[in-house]
Formats: sequence, structure tokens, C-alpha cells
Amino acid sequence: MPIGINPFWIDGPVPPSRFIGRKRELTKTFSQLTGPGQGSVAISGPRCTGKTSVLHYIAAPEIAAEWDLTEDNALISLFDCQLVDHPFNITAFWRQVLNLLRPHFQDSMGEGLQKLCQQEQISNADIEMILDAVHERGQRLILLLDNFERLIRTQVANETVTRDFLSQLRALINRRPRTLSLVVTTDEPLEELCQTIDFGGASPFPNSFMSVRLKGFSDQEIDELIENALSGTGMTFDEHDRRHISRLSRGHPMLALLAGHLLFEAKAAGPMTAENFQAMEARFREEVKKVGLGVG
Amino acid sequence: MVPANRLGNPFICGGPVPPSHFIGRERELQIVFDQITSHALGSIAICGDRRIGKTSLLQYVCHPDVLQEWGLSQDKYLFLFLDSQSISEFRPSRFWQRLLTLLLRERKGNLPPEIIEGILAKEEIGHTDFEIILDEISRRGQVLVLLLDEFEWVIRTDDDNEPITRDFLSALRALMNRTPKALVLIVATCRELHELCRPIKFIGSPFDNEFTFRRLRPFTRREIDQLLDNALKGTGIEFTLEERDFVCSLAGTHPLLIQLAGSTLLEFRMQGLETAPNSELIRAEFEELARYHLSQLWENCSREEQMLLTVLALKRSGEREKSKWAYDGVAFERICRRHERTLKDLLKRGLIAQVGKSITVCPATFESWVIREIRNADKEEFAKRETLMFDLLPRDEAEQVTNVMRRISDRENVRLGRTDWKRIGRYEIIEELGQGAMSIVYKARDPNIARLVTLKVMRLDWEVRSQKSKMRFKREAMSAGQLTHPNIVAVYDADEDRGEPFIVMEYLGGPTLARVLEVLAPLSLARAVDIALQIGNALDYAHQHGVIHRDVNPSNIILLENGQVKVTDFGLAKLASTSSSSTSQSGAFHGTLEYASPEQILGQEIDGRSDIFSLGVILYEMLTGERPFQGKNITSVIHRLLSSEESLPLTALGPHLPLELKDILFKAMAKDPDQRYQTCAELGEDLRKMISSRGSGEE
Ligand SMILES: Nc1ncnc2c1ncn2[C@@H]1O[C@H](COP(=O)(O)OP(=O)(O)OP(=O)(O)O)[C@@H](O)[C@H]1O
Ligand SMILES: Nc1ncnc2c1ncn2[C@@H]1O[C@H](COP(=O)(O)OP(=O)(O)O)[C@@H](O)[C@H]1O
Ligand SMILES: [Mg+2]
Ligand SMILES: [Mg+2]
Repeated sequence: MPIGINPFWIDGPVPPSRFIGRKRELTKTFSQLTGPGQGSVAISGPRCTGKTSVLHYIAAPEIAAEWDLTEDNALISLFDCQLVDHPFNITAFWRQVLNLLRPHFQDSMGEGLQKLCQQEQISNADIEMILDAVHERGQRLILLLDNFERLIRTQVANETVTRDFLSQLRALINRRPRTLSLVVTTDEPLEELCQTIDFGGASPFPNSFMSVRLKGFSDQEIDELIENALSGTGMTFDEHDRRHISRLSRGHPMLALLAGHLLFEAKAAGPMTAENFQAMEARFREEVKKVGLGVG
Repeated sequence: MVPANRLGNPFICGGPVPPSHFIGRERELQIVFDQITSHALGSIAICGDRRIGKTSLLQYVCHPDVLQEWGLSQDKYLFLFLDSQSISEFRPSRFWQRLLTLLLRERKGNLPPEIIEGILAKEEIGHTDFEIILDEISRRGQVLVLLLDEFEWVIRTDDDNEPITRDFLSALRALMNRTPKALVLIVATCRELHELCRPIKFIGSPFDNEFTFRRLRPFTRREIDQLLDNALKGTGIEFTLEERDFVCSLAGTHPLLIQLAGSTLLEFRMQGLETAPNSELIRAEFEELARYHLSQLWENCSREEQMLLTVLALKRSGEREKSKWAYDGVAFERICRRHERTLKDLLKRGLIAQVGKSITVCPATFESWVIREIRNADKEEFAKRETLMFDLLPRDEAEQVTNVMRRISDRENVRLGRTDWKRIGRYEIIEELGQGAMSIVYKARDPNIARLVTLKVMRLDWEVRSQKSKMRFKREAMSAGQLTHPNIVAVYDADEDRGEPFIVMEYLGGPTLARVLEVLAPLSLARAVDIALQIGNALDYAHQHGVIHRDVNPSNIILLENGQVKVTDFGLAKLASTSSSSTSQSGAFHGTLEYASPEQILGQEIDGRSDIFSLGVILYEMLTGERPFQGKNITSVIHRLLSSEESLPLTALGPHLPLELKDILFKAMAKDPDQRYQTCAELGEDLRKMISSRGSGEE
């Protein structure tokens, strides 16, 4: 059987159909969102550990439905904070988020949103009005904010803007009736990002979140990743190969894919010898250096 | 339908609790509703530590169901909840505007909207505009109850803002005091309102004079049980009494910490896991969740309180580690007596606990957090903590305390050259378990399979740490790791991180034989023989596989609760000295002198029989509580060991021990390996014979 094209590829966040593992982290997140506290979650993990992928997975209607989050009761919306204009300001942020929400509202509320977006300033009072309207429709709003660190690590000159923004956001998620929950992702833990911000004696922003850390894949998850990729190619990786990948990548999903890619290439070219393995390892390290991802 | 394992988390880990999950605070509710319904219409200032439940209380107070329960008509009492932080760049005019908008939107008490809209249309709104609304409210026989959360946000006292704050608070006060009364404030702050208002130069009586104060306290045990019951109802899971105690030991009495601990325990139970055998894992999970909140509790303590917490934490861990950081009890008593009042405050806040006369930091998680912070402190942070001691304690006491601090933090620094290693390899460090001549041992967690491990970072001599010897280190560690035997601690992994070689082993909770001997020696004959037999099994097995232990001593032997004995560190002594001679160039002897065989001390070729000698020494020590080859210093030990004249001091064996034992010990510790038992099985055979000839009725 001829060996097909290399099935290990890396191309931004994975679609939910190819999503693997992270069972525990997802359970934690969903149960925090759907419990009586309707809480918010802060997911953190280094670059390319799969934060965006997790958000896409949460936003997938069939997945959310398993936790009884459906169109009828919840609006789930994903926003990449990298898209916010710089220098950052609160009104611009809300304008972009509201624009994203507009398609959910066919009725008069859609028009209301549009009008709001044209306002010079959007304040918490305005957002509260929207939240109340959402609540009245029997729904809640779950905002998934990717790359949230972009809104925290602003220039020094903007520090008060950042502080006000976070304070107001906190007030919104703590409001009763509970209508807004957030899932934010950051490259460093939220509390570390917020460490230097002076909240003027009031409750610091991260207080309202439960934190979830994305760690490396377990050997089991790596196995699943490899099996998924190899299915239908006619190639197999034995236990030794798979642990080799675990070891090289230290569980980092993207690096595991990279290692898988290189191993696939090497194995497709011929039987593996100790030298082949070494050469593959050397290439792996080179590539890692190129993408600038330290391991560990 | 949502399946059972997809149930939302019934513990509230973050924001304010919904009314359905609100626990306790009966006294506060009574005060609040008494004040609101009394003629005086008194205002209330709630304060309390971070995350103690201030927002939860305010939101509960204004919930329609609660008002109905307390018999307050919503037509008469208009409740408005406002998180002060939701007003961006706080300014009084924005505050008034915000209140009016809320009144309008929430259509409270059917106030005529035109009046409110009329005011809102104005460019700049002041407190006099709000008076118009208050007049209307009181004319209609109504009362406005303003619940202002995060009130600190409003009280800005820097030079620029002090006059604004002063005018604003004075205006609020005037509104509260207008007759007929129609306004009640309930404000929530973390620090006390008095303290916040102190820097403000009020003209006339200060703002805070108008308030009844109430500090929110941590939960009682009854409230904790209520919280757990309430959360678990409907999950089909119940916590046993032990599990509840475990929650308390993890979380103390702080409501949020209780919720976090409950949530962690529940997660395990949901996965169908028993909690007891996993308690260490649960503890580690909980600590990760709690860390940030503990740091806030610390930040919220005064300097004096921080000093006391540090002293208490150091005292306790000093006691636990016994000889290591022994600590002058008299000085400690003095410190406590001098700061009795502050200790009482801490007690009320649930940050320390008192059982009998002994005072500890509470919860234990907080204590280990305090210690870890000292251990991980960078230079600047460490200096800050030192200054704290010297500022608040007499010189001699401060020196004592900082010496202990120094010792804890130095231990790792010296070794690893850095202080912020939270993980080694992929393993997450939980805490240090101890240090030996050759290694530092940590309790750690393998995140891949969420299991606890013991991680040993080797202290290799500098010259040994070449690339080549590191390779060799790994190979040899792994070859020792091939040993699988019920009496041998399993080795999982050997690797290096940032140039530091380490070994990962099975984590065992039990104490070492060394520790047991320290407290319980001498052991009974039966127990001593049982332990020796099990050690012997392990040694024979290893010898058959070509591995010599080289450092059999009581601190390498772990006793499990079920009576099982496990030997650890096979071959590590050899790794530590790459040259095949037992002393490296620096002259350091890798092994424990008092247990080493003569041939090992002389640097001769050794084989398994050397380990048998060490086992003999251990057996002797278990039975007598003393080591046969003790001496004031190393040279005298070596002399006694090697001198052919001096024989074993077997007189120390009491008359209650069988005569055969002397012969057995003699043979096990014979100086010439050829005269010794050749295998542990032979030794075991003799021990068994001796026991059975005494009859099993002994003991
Ligand atoms: N009455 C209560 N019953 C049960 N749990 C409570 C109660 N009060 C507080 N908690 C727990 O404490 C957490 C924090 O509560 P809350 O947000 O009200 O605290 P806070 O004092 O307002 O905190 P901050 O100082 O950060 O503003 C809640 O998420 C909940 O887990
Ligand atoms: N759960 C997962 N299943 C499969 N592949 C994943 C998973 N998580 C991450 N990956 C791989 O890692 C890469 C980086 O993921 P991404 O979500 O973009 O990371 P981040 O947002 O943390 O930078 C993706 O391209 C994907 O191939
Ligand atoms: Mg991403
Ligand atoms: Mg609060």
C-alpha cells in the first residue's frame, strides 16, 4: 500500500471535528459556566498549546448542546482580542463585540444594537441594557475572548484605560441577574498579567474567574492525536515511536504534530535506524528554534 | 437531557453566590433589615477580607424573594444595587446620572419617569438634582436603599481628588440626614470605612460617623456543613465525615476556599475516584486554585499581622523538621504575648487557629503558602520580609527569625542557583521533602497522568557533571530502575533539566526508618526481624540482577502503613561518584559512613556482601537504638570499624534478647567479607530459626 501525503499538518486552531483530548479542562470550563454560579473561566497556556482550539470547540453548537447550552438559552460568541484597534479604548471594544452579536438579533434589538454602535461612547449602562434585554428573552450571553492578554498588556500611557475596562467588565459579570459569562484565554495566567494593575482598593479583576491551565498532552492524548492523523494512510507508529514523540514535544500539541510530521517523512523514506532517529531529532530541534517555541 | 457527568459545578468558584446558594450571615441580615425598617433609617458599612462574601450579601439583601421573605414591600422600599466600579473614571456627576438611569430603567416604585428624564437631560447633574428625586420618594412614603459595592473606588484621597471626595461624601451624608428621612446606604469595602475616611478633612462630623459597622467573619463549622449539603443536594453524591473534615483542613473557614475545596473533592468523586487515597493529589489541585486568593488574604493583612503569620508558620515547620531549624520557644512566647491583640484579630478573621495553647496559621494551606513565599522570594522580596522583622521585633528576636528564613530560602538557592523553579522537567514541584548529602528530594506531580512522584535532583560534584557522565548517570539510573520488586521503590524516569540531572520515583507517604528509630527505637524483636527480612529480600533480588546498593542506611528505607518495607536509592551512591573508587577526588565519601562496610571505606572492590554488612548495622540499631560504630568524629568511626582488635560492643544487647542474636550479628558484620553471610537469604534463615525457637508467643 503506497504511503499517502503527510497527514500531520499545522494550520491554526483545529476545527472541532479534529479536536482531541482536553476532557478535564473542558469539563471544568463547562461546569463552571453551567453551574448555579454561572461563573467565568480564565484559560491560560503558552503559545500554541491549543487555547484557540478549545474556544472553537466550546463554541461549536453540538458540543455546547451536550451541556444544555442551545440557541434558546445562550448566545455564545467568540471574539479575538487581537482584532481590537490600537491604542485600545473601551468603546471600540464594545462596538466590535456588538457588531459580532448583531446577526443573533433579527428583531428590533438588532436595530438597537446598530444605533448603539454609532454612539460616540458606549458605557456600562448601555451594555447593561443589552444584557437585560438578553435576559428578558430567556437567554444568557457567553463571550469567548481569545488572546485577552492583548487588552491587558497595553502601553503604560493607557494603564488607566485598562484598569477601567477590567473594572467595568468585572462589574458586568458579577451583576444580577447573571447574564454575562466570560471565557478568556491568555498566554500567562490572568492573575500574573493583572499583578501590576492598581484596582484602587477594589476587588481585582481575576477574582471573578476560575482558572484553568492548559498543560501538555498526556501520553494517551498524544496517542489519540497520532492515531487520528495516521488513519487511512497505511502508516503505523509503534509504542516506541509514539513515546519518542511524547518525549520530544513534552506533550506540547503543536510540537507533537511537528515531530509526527518529521517522523512520518523519515519513515516513508525507508526503514528507521538509530541514525535516522537522530537526524529526525536534529531537524525537530532546528524547526522548533525556527518557530521560536521553547520546550518546557 | 444533560447526563449526570455533565452537571454544572454546584460550588460557586468566583463571583457572588446566587440567592439559592447563599449560606449564613443571619446576624448581618437581621441588622440590615432592622435598620431599614426602624424609624432612624440607619445606614450600614459592611467590611471584610477579600472574597469573604460582601457582594454576595448585598445582592442577597436586594433579591425580590428575600425581601418578600422578610416582609418588605417593594412598593415601599426601592432597592438599588450599584457596583461603584461600573462607573468609569468616577466623578460625582456620573454617579448621580448612573443612579437616575437605574431608577428609570428598573422602574422602581413607579416613580414618575418625566421627573427623572427631565434631570437626565441636563448637562451636569449634581446632588441637588438628586434631592428632587428624594423629595418625591419621601412624599410618596417610600425609602430608597442604595447598596454600594466596592465603595473604595469612590473614596480617592490623593491630593487631586481629596476635595472632590470630601464634597461628594458630605453631599451623600446631607442626603442621608434630610428629614423626613428617605435614604439608606449600605456600603461594602474591604478595609474599614473609618480607615478609608481618615485622610479626608471633613468640615464638621465625618462621613463614617453615620454608619453601623459590621465585619464579615469566616464561616462556622455548622455553616460549612450547610454549604456542603446545599451544594451537593441533587448531585447524588454525599461527603463522608472524613471528607468534610478534609475540606476544613484544606480550606479553614473562609467561604470561597471552602467552595474551592468542595469543588475539587467533588470533581474526584464525579470521576468515580476515592478521595482518601488521592488526598495528596486533591491537596495539590486545591493549592493551585487557592494560591491567588491566599496571596490576597496576605496582602490584606497589616505589617504586624504579616510578621506574626510569618513567625507562626516558621515555628510550625521548624517543629515539623525538628532539629533542622530549631527555634527558641521563649522568644516565640514573648512575641505572642506582646502581640496578643493582633493575634486575637487574626483568630477572628480565621487566619489562625488555636487548639489548647498551640496557635497555628489557618488553613494549613495558608501556612505552606507563607513558607513557600519565603522560599521562592527573590532578593528584593526577601529583603522586604527581613525588614518587616527588624522593624517590628527587637533585634535579637528579629535575628533569630530571619536566620530561620535565610536557612529555608538558601537551601534551594545554593543548590539550584535560582529560586523560581516551579517545575523540573515536566514535573510540578509541590514541596521539598528533605535534603541529603547527594540530593534534594521533592514531592512533585506528573501532570501527564496526574500522579504524585518523588523527584530527586542529584547534587553531583562539579567535575562529575560533564556531558559524558550525565549520559552515564541517566543510563545507570535507568538500569537501577529496571528493578521491580515489592520491596524496592520503583523508578519511573531519569532525565535532566537545565543541566540538573534528576530521578523520578514512586511517591510513598510513609516515614523513613531513620525517622521511626529517632522516636521509637529500640524496636521489638519481631518488628526488627520483619523489617530486616524485607530489606534482605530487596537486596538479594538486586544483587541477583547485578545491582549493588552501596548506601543501605535507615534513611533509604521507607515503612508503609501496611507494614511493607521499601528500599530506595539503589546504586545512587555509585552515580554520585563516577570514578569507580568510592571516594571522589574531593575526598567526599558517597555513602553513609556509620553503615559502610570496611572494604567500602578502604575503597576496595565491593560486591553485594558490602550491603549485607550495612543491613547488619541496621539490625543492630533497630534492636538497641544505638549504632555499633559510633564515634565523636569520622576518624574515630573509621578507626573502630577497621581496627581488628575492637570487636562489636554486643553488651549493649539487653538480656531480653536471645543469645543466638549475638552470633547472627557477628556474622553479618564480620570485617572479612568471606566470613560474612554470603546472601541475605542465609541471614534470613538464621533469623527465622531464632524467632521460631523462641516460640511465637513472644511480644
Ligand atoms: N454567604 C455565602 N454563602 C456561600 N458562599 C459564599 C457566601 N459568601 C461568599 N461565598 C463564597 O465566596 C465567594 C466570594 O464572594 P463575594 O464575591 O461575595 O466576595 P466579596 O467579599 O464581594 O469579594 P471581593 O472582595 O473580591 O469583592 C463566592 O464565590 C462564594 O464562593
Ligand atoms: N485539542 C487539540 N486537538 C488537536 N490538535 C490540537 C489541539 N490543541 C492544539 N492543537 C494543535 O496545536 C496547534 C495550535 O493550537 P492553537 O489553538 O492555535 O493554540 P493557541 O491558541 O494556544 O496558540 C493547532 O494548529 C493544532 O494543530
Ligand atoms: Mg490562539
Ligand atoms: Mg465583591
